[in-house]
Amino acid sequence: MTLHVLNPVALKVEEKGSSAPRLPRLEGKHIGLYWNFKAGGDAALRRAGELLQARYAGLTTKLYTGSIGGSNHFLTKDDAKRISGECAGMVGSTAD
Amino acid sequence: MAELEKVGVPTVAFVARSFEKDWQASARVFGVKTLPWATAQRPFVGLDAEDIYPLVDAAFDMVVKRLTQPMAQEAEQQAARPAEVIAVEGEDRYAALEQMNRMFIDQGWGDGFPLWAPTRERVDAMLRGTKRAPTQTVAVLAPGKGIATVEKIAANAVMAGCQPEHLPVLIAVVEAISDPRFMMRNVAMSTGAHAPMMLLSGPIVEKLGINTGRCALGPGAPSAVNTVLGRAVRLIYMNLGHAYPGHMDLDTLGSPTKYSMCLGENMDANPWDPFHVEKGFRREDSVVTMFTTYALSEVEDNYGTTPPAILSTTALSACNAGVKSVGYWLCGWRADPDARVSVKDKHLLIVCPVHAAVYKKTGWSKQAIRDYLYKHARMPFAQLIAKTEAAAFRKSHPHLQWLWDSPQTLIPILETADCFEIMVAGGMGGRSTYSYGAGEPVSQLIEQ
Repeated sequence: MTLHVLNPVALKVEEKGSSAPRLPRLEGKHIGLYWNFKAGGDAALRRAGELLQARYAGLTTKLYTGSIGGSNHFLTKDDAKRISGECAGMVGSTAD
Repeated sequence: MAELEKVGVPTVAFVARSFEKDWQASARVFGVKTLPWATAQRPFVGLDAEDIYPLVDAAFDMVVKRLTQPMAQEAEQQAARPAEVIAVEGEDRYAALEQMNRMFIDQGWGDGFPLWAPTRERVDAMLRGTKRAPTQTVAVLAPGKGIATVEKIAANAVMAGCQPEHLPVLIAVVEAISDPRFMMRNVAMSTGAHAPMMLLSGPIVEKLGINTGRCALGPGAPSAVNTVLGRAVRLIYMNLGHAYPGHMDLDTLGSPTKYSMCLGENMDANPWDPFHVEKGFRREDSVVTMFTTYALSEVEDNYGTTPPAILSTTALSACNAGVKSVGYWLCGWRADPDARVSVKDKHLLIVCPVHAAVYKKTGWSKQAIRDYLYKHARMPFAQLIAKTEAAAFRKSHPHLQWLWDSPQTLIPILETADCFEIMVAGGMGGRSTYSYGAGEPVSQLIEQ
């Protein structure tokens, strides 16, 4: 006996995007630290900033949060565009 | 982080080991195949800084590597998609059905209970419940951006045990939960157990035999239709929204409320306009309203004979600071960054007929109930802020920072009186139900 059944799973909309080019060096760069307000993320980013500045001469950091949301504040596309004009790279603590 | 990569900013994020698979799956959905991350051995939540720093130190070399070197192609290979029509073998029809159930569970496509077989014949029969074309896309459903066609909805309806006349309800459900105000991405992916609750109102309730009275939320024979409709919604979340447990549905514990929650408005006991009329629909319309609920609390009061007496008990049930959406407004509004929509959290009071009779006798309107709850469901600021990110509170409400100096100030658990939704359902007992919601309920007309 062969039972033929339909696949119940929806196809997905596939977005085509790619990662940004990486930085050849970190010395002298301005690196953002993105926190979405998840608990503990601020401490993690503070520590990451300390370690980056200790290892790479002239590296500076700045803490960012998203512009909308509650206990999770999200970056909008406009936020991302604005940040791209300010930071060479970003370290995030966004999930769990 | 995906948006930053797309505009040319190299990123790396700390991701806990137990969330790595979800990170990769989310990255694909958000359009960056290899979104760099550095593994933290455990989540940062619930840790002091002194315990977080070693986790960061251990991941730091990877942070640097990810910022400076391209990441290798994704380590996790995506499994090939099974065929659109799947042949299942068995010695007889029952054996084949059992084999199909094993296969669907292995694939993650089921809710754990036995499924009906979505054969071509059964799906075609289901499709006769709507005039819409099977190939029509009803919505692209978060969080996985699944293309929810009429036929895929029908296949899941069959699996849940629904009948063709149920299909228009489920199509309306998909439309409702894809509304940005519903915050599907947020509620489906969270570590909190956000459960969808269907409320049906209008002529469809009687037409379909929806239970509005005793045991309306089930289980059992009186709620058979409620049960299969709610079950279909769960399958839709998984198979159309791609929110599978452990894979874009990251509940800490989960909840039995996520299997099936559907009820109809009890118009025999309702002293007010139908729920959907209150929402701007015509009385003769049939409407489904989708709520997200964190949890349900009983409001047992068999002694109160006045609205303030009953609502005092209700307010005590509402003041449960352990629930995320109690006092959530202090840290802002729930938001969808893609649609740039922000909404307040709303809670739902399901009024039992015994309590509804008290409101009817005394002439209390829904607005009077809302106003009472807004004034009495309050907790000290110190208790509400204790579980809330202080930085989010500072950012969202700079004008309320004086509360730090007056921590015993009583604060409403919801932002405004209209955040209390009210409807009537259930049998004869002095037991209303309070549902702690998440985000905005969305009402959708059901095509007849």
